[in-house]
Amino acid sequence: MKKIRELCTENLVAIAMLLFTVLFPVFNSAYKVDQFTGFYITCFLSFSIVLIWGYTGIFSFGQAAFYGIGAYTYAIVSLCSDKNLTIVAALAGTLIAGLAATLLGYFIFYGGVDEIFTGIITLCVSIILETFIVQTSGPEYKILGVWIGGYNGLNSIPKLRIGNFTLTNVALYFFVAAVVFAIYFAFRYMTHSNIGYALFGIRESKTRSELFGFKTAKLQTLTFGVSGAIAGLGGVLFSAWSGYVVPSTLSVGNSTIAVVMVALAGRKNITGALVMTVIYSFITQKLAASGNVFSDVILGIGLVLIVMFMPDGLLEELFKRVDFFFKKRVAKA
Amino acid sequence: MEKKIINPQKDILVLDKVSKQFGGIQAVEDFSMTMKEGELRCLIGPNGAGKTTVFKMVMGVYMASSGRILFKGEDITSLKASKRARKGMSIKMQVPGVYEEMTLRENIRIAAENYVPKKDLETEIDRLIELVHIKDLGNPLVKNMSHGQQQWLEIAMALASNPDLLLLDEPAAGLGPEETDFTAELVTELNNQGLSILFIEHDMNFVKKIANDVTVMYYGKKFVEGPIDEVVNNPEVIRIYLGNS
Repeated sequence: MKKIRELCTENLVAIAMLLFTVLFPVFNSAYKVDQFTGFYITCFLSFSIVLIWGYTGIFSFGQAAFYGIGAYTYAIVSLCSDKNLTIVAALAGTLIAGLAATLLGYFIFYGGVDEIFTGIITLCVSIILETFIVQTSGPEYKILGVWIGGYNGLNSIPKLRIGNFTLTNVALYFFVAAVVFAIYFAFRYMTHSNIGYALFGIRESKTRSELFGFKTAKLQTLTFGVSGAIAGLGGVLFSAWSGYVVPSTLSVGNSTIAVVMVALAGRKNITGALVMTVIYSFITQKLAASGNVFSDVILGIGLVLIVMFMPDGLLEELFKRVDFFFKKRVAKA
Repeated sequence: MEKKIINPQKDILVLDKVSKQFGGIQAVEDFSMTMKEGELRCLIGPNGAGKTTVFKMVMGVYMASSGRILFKGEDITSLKASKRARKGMSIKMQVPGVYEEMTLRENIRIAAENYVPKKDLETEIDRLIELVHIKDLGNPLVKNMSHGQQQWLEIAMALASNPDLLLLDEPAAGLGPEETDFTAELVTELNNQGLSILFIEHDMNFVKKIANDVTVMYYGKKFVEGPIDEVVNNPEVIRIYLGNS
């Protein structure tokens, strides 16, 4: 009983989310399972923003660019090669997105660019990449023999295969969910590790952390690289799940929605980001299906209200208040 | 804290004609100073004299425009702040440089993790908390601690690396009489353990209580240097710094 009391709200929500994820395919149709696979894929983008913004204090508007790099790399490598090489394509997509983020991060952090300009630079990178991809409709724009396709993007992208087994529907759902929860638990572990505290210190005061001996530029660059790889992995899975990739995949709009979801949940809280991303994706999909075009407006209004009244984020605040309520009751008892 | 083995004849910090310019402003000009191992020295001067700029140049927050900085005989002028810290110097800043959104223990943990094995971290945190007398506070968020408590916490954080040289920028600022007395005792005790300490302070009673030697800065230059009793009775120092009263 005492152990149950010690479980904080965040942990209980995480357990509930895990159970929900495992049991969801048992009670739902293949169509709904496929939809939720897409929702969980969006979590990669949110996780990359939690890592770079929530944990390290670097505001990035460019995570969708790395998501898009992962998606395009997977599409190109898998289309140009044998279908059995999709795992290689997935690794290539994740790695190239991570390397692109590391390279960009190197110039930003070793160049001493401050926080506001980091946001602007990453925003510009997203815009430049999207603009470039849109303009690649000519037949000369080929990579590894695969035509990039300009505005129309790439279609008929092969599904992810492990050996002779093709990951579709429920299998893909569980694969995506397993990777999402693996990253989730790695983040939870990290928050109590030396590297986690080092990042939190940099988030609170970069100068102070340098004076404690932390190589802040190196840590920021590596973290930016890892966050790019996580976003890139999301892009890979998106490509493999949807079978298409278009330039808007790496748009600023895509980054913005992920940033807003994370801000709404509480940027320092990975559980909040996971839950909020799935809930928001579900609501958006419901609104879109019913012909309502105001999902982004609702999200925007929600953001304004949260920033004004709950700057730490809705779910972070909720977790704290529920914990406080039960602690008070236990103390009274 | 284990007593450090020191050689009082050996230089721990040498500033050799160090200057710093910010655009057209000459904040520090040809400033030279030598500190021996185990020394407890105070840097005083009117506001804007360049004392904090000297501290920041020593730590590598600002790079010197010209001149040389030697630490334990090694030229560290062009080293980054993180490398200087790892060589054995540490600072308590003028405005408490603590992580306000984190807890007391988390603050010390971050300060210590580059220098203390993970298995010993909790013990070391306990020791440092006890050393600066903030054990009774529990583990609050730092933003909820008083200014004085934050100052002591930052001293504990600065000590987490077991430095050879500690820079304290106004350790008694904003403290009440009892808190100032405790800080004086703490600084003296740390110095008795062999830690070399250079501090900036405006509270002359505090300075007289603990410092042996004083360096006075004025308009970015060294004005005078010597034993505390000599310096505070110097008519020129009284004129520029202490006032005619």
